Amino acid sequence: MNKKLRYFKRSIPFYIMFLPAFIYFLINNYLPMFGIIMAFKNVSFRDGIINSPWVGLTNFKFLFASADAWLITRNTVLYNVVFLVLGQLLGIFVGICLSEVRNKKAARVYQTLILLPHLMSMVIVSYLANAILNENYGLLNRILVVLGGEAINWYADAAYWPYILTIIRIWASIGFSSVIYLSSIVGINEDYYEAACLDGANKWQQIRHITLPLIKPTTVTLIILGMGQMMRSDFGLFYLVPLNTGALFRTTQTIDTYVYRALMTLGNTGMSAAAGFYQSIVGFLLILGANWLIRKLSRELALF
Amino acid sequence: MKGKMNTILVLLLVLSIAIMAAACDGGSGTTVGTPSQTTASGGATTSPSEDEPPRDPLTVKMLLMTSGNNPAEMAKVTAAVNQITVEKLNTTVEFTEIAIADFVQKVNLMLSTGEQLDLFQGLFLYQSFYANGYLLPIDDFAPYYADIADLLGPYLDCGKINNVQYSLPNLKDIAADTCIVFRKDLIHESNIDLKTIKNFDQLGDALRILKQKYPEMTPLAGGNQGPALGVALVNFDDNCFIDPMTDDGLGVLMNPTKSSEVTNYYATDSFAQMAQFAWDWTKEGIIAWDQLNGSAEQVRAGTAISYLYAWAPKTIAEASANSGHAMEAWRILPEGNALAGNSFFWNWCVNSDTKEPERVLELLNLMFIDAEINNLLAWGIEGEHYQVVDREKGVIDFLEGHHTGNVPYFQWTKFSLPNNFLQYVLKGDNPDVWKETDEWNKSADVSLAMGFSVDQGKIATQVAVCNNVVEEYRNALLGGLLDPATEIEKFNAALQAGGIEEIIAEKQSQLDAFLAAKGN
Repeated sequence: MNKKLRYFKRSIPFYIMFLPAFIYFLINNYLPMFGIIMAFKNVSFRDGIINSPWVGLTNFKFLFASADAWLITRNTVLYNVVFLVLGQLLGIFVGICLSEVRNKKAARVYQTLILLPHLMSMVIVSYLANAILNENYGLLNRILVVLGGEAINWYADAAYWPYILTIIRIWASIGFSSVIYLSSIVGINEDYYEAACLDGANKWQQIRHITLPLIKPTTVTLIILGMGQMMRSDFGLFYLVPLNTGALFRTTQTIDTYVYRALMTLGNTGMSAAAGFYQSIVGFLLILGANWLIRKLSRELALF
Repeated sequence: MKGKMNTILVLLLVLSIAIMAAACDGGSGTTVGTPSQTTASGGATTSPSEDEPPRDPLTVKMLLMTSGNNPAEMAKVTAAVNQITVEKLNTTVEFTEIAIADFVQKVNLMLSTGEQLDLFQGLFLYQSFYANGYLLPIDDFAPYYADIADLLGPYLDCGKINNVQYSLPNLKDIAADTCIVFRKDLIHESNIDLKTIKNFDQLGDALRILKQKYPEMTPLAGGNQGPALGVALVNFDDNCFIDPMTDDGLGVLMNPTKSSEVTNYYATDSFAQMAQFAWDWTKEGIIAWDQLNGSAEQVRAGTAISYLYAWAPKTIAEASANSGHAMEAWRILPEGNALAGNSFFWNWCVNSDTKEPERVLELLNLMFIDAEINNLLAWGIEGEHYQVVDREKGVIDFLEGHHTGNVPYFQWTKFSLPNNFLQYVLKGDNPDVWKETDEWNKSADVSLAMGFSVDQGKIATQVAVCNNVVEEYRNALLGGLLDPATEIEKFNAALQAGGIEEIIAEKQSQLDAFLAAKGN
């Protein structure tokens, strides 16, 4: 008992350090969970959330009533899988490249340049994309015409958009993920590389046998966290960049844009809460699942 | 010990959640009164004619829509307005300036949190505000807005929801009509006489002439608000405008003065024809849709010649100012009449939380009849922000050196003010514009569904699903991106699957009940 008390006393500074984060998460992430009940109510703000009548699962119906329910779920999940896999691979690649730049000033310039798109609003990105893809005066069509090809109406054919959106997304996010990887690569002890050099390992062997294994925990953490976002999508990317064009819905409609379009005129709070709840629950289950799987494979790498 | 610590933490967490929940509950109980309570307390007072000299001072908060550039000397103008209102009613007005772009977030938040906002306009959230109980039914206070009712005449019904008065439309162009505005100089150069165009086929011919003469320009442009033919709700068979009843357009009245049959517009010949025009004309290059730029900006930039616009007597002046060129208008139904349907966008609503609705309505009533207040809000203070050129005709001009861009009080959103007809007209514009607008309002056909509002409660799921289908196909078809020959069928199949028939059946039964109640 005495020992435990002493242990607790010793930990007090850590509890104090933990306090701000605890309060932050309590206020921003836990208390709003009270709002989950809105998903099961016909919300009227004048009656108050508590006094609004319960309606069971009615609010969830619109998510599954559409003939496109499968399509939007597929789009959301597939895009996220592609973004997750490509994002990690390219993030690692760019991170390693950046770590090999020996000139400090140059490294900083490259990092900033690669990070810049991440800071850009999707509204601006949508204009940039239009400058490239516009049928009449877009850069791409101008090049195609000069090369003797025919101008393509990019905004009329859904088939192009999985590629366009992936490229834009990777371009926008690569800076951030590469910086995360760079920071963990920088944290690797130089001694490993020196020893490897002495043993005659070339660059590729060093990367394969030192860098990659040592950044595995970072990769796994990012993947598990990414699983939680599986049912969410970047609204700006899917709504603004295709310019809200109906003809592209087959490949650009995701759960978030679907919910927005469905409820824009209805203004039904209960239904939007239901959509958010559904996304969160599936995301939560996916995180648990991914963690369970990784735990099976390697206990140390699992998050919890 | 450690176990105990955890239990305490969990308990603390639960406690704080409980406190939070209780606070929320208490908050909604005290700040947000139910409409019935406020009416009950308000109904006790007597009619306005009874004069009680010592009135308590009252502060009323009133929404004032702005373009986002709030005028610099707003405080000065507010003080001048208050001089009048305090003298006449002992009521002080505080204007809550909100940019149209922020309207949804800010006004929604103010109303749902119970912040004081006594008078406001609903815009596209009007029906949602009604559904949330923010609108006070004002029938009981009719004597307090008697002048407004007189001024509005039949248009008073625009503010009714299922035969109960919930709002008061501001006096402006209330009827609905659509036209295409063309650059005047270019159609004259091309020898096109708009008066000779009788239908869409002839419109196509005119656009072809323009295309030939000005190959670098779009003859008829769509913009970021929608495709070129996007807002033309025309019944080609009966040569009349369609009443969409609600914004979603799911279930409309095709011939709103003659038949109360709710119809799926997207399955009609008129929609197919419009989509066919869009498809053919886009291929020909005589219409185009630039989704990022406004159509008026395209005309201003010299890349487009014409665009669709709402028609009213003030249209030509307004469109000319917006597009930087003198414009001329062609009404898209040259022989059809304007339609007076449910117009609630700019209706003035009284908050159901308001403590003294009588005095709020009294103030609004004054604002509808007092020319001085209207002109203060529209143009500012005479001698400081404008000068009168012709007092009889109500024509004014800016002071020397001032223009719309640098005058310290300028309100783009004059149309949102209570009574447009009392506003001065800027020199150079048609001085009789308000008289003409009044006559035009009165000449419009009145839709059978005027005063009807759909309660979407039972069909919310179907509406949500169908909204998405409409978003997917409607603009794509009207923007000439999809071939109507095959896609209209798919569109309607998707609407069927989404439950449009249930929506139409529900709307029909609500409309029938409304008409029956109105008849009695």
